[in-house]
Amino acid sequence: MNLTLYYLSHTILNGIKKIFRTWVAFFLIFIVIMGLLGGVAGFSIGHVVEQNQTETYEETGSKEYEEVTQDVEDGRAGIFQNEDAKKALLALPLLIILATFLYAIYTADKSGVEIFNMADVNFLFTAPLHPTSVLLFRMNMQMGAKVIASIYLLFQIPNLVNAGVSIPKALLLFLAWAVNLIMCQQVGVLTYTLLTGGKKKHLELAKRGVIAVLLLLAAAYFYFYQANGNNHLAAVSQFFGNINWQWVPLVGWLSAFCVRVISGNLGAAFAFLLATIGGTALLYVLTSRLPADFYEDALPGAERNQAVLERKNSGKSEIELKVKRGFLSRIFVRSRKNFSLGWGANMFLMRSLHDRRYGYLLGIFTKTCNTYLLVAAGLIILNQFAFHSGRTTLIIYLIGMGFIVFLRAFGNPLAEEMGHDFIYLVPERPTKKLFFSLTSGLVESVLNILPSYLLITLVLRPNLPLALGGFVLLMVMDLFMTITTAMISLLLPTQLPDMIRSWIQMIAISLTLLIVVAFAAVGVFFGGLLGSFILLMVSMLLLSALFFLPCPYILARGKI
Amino acid sequence: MLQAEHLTKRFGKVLANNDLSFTIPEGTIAVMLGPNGAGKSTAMKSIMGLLRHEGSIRIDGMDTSTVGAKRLIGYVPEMPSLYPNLTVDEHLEFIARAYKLTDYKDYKEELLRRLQLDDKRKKFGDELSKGMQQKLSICIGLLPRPKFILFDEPMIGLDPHAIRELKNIFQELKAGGSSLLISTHIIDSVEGFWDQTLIMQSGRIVANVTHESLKASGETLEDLFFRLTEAGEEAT
Repeated sequence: MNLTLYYLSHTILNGIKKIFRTWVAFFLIFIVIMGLLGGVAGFSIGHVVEQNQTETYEETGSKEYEEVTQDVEDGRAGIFQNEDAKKALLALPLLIILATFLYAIYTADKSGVEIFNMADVNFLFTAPLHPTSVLLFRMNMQMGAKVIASIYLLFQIPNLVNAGVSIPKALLLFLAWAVNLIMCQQVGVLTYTLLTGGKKKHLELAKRGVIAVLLLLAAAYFYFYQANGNNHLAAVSQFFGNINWQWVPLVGWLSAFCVRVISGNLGAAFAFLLATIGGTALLYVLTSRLPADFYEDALPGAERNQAVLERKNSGKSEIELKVKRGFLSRIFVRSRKNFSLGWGANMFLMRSLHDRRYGYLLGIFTKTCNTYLLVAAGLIILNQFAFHSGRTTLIIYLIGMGFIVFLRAFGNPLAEEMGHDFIYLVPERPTKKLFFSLTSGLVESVLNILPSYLLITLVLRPNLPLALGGFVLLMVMDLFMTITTAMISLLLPTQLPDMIRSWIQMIAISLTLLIVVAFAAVGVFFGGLLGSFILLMVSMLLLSALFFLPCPYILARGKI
Repeated sequence: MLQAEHLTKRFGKVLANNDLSFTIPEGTIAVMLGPNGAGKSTAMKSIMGLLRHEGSIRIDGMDTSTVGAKRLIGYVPEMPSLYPNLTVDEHLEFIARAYKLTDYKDYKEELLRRLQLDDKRKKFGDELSKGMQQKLSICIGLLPRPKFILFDEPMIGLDPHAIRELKNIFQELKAGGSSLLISTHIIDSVEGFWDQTLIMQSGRIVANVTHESLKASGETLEDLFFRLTEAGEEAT
């Protein structure tokens, strides 16, 4: 513990010192202050508006006041008017906790051996420490890092307060999230330690176990769905909102804590919290007692992590490892020939197309493309049994793809070029190099999404404007997200900790999306849905052009 | 004394170490030579307890993978890897705590001074050049005053002053009763101070000679190395 505290305290303090050596510190302070001011202002304004409404209604007479305050309360908590909806909402903590719990077990190998770096191998693996102590040391660091990374959730407290949750309750829900992170980390490490014992193949049992549990849950949900006349809300409320989940150790206890906090039963809430913490502590003790023999298994992961760290320190971004060509690709894809097209800056686009042409079936069916096709096929099947509307299914598909486009944009779209330094070295104008680099990413996105999009629109035949408009929206959104994150990646120092980098990206993208959403809202006033769509496109294209402008200049200056 | 008996390590079908047996007495500077892929690093990692293996490796009668044995063993890896958010001073303090050392501060200052790191003590791990990282790695390996130290290509990246200082340290450790096992490609770097040489090829030890026996034969270490590794012979 002495070692753990020493490492933790010095790492955190030194990490902060490093950030304060760059301009990023001022940006972070600015964001924190704006976040606090915004939150306090939002809370205060909401409070004042509510008070004025209450005072106004008090003047009109007590009966009207009662009726109106009842309306206000119902309005604020409008979603709670429906009993099923209320219970379904209270099932949300269970769903989140269950999802993270099962994910931790499914990815137990990452908890066990992918958390070390070469400094750990050289200093701790060789030190006179029990392997379990070394595992617990790094695990404690991971848990601490995850909890610290979640601190941004505290800025959501004013939003929760405006939704009717008091500040103490909001803080308790944040505590529940922190406990959940720690609990899931413990479960992952315990699963790894229990199942490996020198045989990594046993970890497959954990993955199969999780899939079996998911199938059971899906089957149970489907039963309730049919028993309630194909009503999703009723199914969720009766199954996931069932009070008997509170008897399930850890997962049930923690979700019961959240539900009791929301409903105001704090005595029962703390009892469940203590049970959860006790159970998590028991997992920790169990882990510490089990013999751990993972040094050899941890070496490849540590070497990979070290390679990533060295690339960051030399100013290079992380390059995503190429996946091996699949079985079908190896059979049907022609033997690789050299480049026949491309000259100058457009080689950045040609390289990507060349890789695709010779790496995947017909140059189209990458792993990502195949995944999207599976999703589209799944939605088509679901449409037959549940939605019965091509329009609804396409909208669900668009929302899902929009979310994926949003998530995939995080990171660095220029990672591969920056990783090899070619984007700096090739003697061409930075504007051209950037244009073709970013275009290659967009072309990849189009080729990945197009097959699944065609499948879903040709089978379900929703109306043509929706089909065309949806595709254009996805592509423009991809362009906007790519250019925005490229600009942020070029601006940020490459040695910035990943956590800080992610925070800044998330904040910056959220701010720009606010502008886009504002445009869309204005569009609704002037032209309804069509007006909103047009202004959404225009705002994203204008912002993309604006954010692209400084990029060549930043690139020409070299690595930060 | 380090004793390895029938050390065998497989990676799937590849036999990286094939039935290695050797002893390194106290106060001995042993050198492990071999071409790329001979199995030197695998043997070193097995000694350090980083790899599961067949056979036994003991130091003073204790299995090297036990906590007790690790108190006696130091390790200086080929590629220095440091914590990016700890300074030079903090790295040494961290190791002192990991090894539960008492009365280490004077020795720590001496190591920093001898390897010219005393003016770099506030620098972070990722701010050091490769050479400085290697020097810090050496300080970390030596701080616990181990009885047996493994050095994997210790002189790579060091400046001439540091190389000379390191050779002096080797002699001091030997004089103090410690044993060293140095893995290297550069035969010249170990000429003049080695006591025992293990020459490896294709996972096997093809020669285990002492300085005296080689001197008596009239052959140089370089001649012996090339004779064995290029012709595929084994020294008797």
